[in-house]
Amino acid sequence: MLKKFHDISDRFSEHDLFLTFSGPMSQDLMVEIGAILKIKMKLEGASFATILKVFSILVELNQNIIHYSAEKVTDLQNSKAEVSAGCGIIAIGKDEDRYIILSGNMARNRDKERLVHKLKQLNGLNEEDLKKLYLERRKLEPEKESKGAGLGFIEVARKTSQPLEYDFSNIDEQHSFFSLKAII
Amino acid sequence: MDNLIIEATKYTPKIVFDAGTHLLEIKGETYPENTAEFYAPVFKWLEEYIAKLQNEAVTVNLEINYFNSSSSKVLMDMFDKFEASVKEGKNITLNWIYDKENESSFEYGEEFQEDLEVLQLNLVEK
Repeated sequence: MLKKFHDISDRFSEHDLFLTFSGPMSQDLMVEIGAILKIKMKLEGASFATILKVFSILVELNQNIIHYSAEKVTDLQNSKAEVSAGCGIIAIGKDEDRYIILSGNMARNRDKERLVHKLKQLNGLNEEDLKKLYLERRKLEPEKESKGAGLGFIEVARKTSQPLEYDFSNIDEQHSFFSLKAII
Repeated sequence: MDNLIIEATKYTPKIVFDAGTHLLEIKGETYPENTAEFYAPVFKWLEEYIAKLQNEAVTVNLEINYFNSSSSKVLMDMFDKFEASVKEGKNITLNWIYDKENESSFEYGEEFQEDLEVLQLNLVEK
């Protein structure tokens, strides 16, 4: 087990991932990850604008895990949202001069088609069209599946320099592991 | 009516809505876990306040360095509410206070401006 653990750590380093978290995610945890991320990026000399972009993507992807992960830890004594944490994995790295953020979580297969459709659509749009879509959607009522404004992925796409990479690995009949990579 | 005062947290802004001076201020960052829940009392207060408004000059100052996508939607909804009141003849000035060091905060203000028709959103340097 310990040998494997070292392998896991090594593999994160091989992929230039300097900050990783896997497990139940909460709002407070996300805030702290964001705080240390900002400090690290500042020390590396990243510009204010880049730090804000990476931080924004971290927040959107993290809140997606909290809200939409199909794997949840819930306090059965108190089913209020505050004590329910979605499980997932977040990794932040730097590949030469570009920051990358990876997120992963269990997703329901029934949501796969909708997500793929959305991500394909976003990847087909340029900066100006993404802005237009963002402003349009902001004026509308959110989609019924959304717990926020339905703007999260558009926000992420607007802050990345390359198309979003994504993958669904089948787990069982109902679930897949959904991974997303954003390059800033 | 009572003023609305909500203290800032790490991920929610300080909100001070003063019904006496007609100065409404939001300052800080906004990316709560449950945006609708956090802003529900703010909208409730606003509805009551706007309903009682006559022709007093209202100033809304917003100094928001960062907002997540769901807060962006909430801010838009709030501006739509102000805009509807302006269309009914209310006197509301909206100031978007941006930090020169933070280019995005200026752009965010511009993007809100694009989506408003009669409500004037002033971009004010901090």
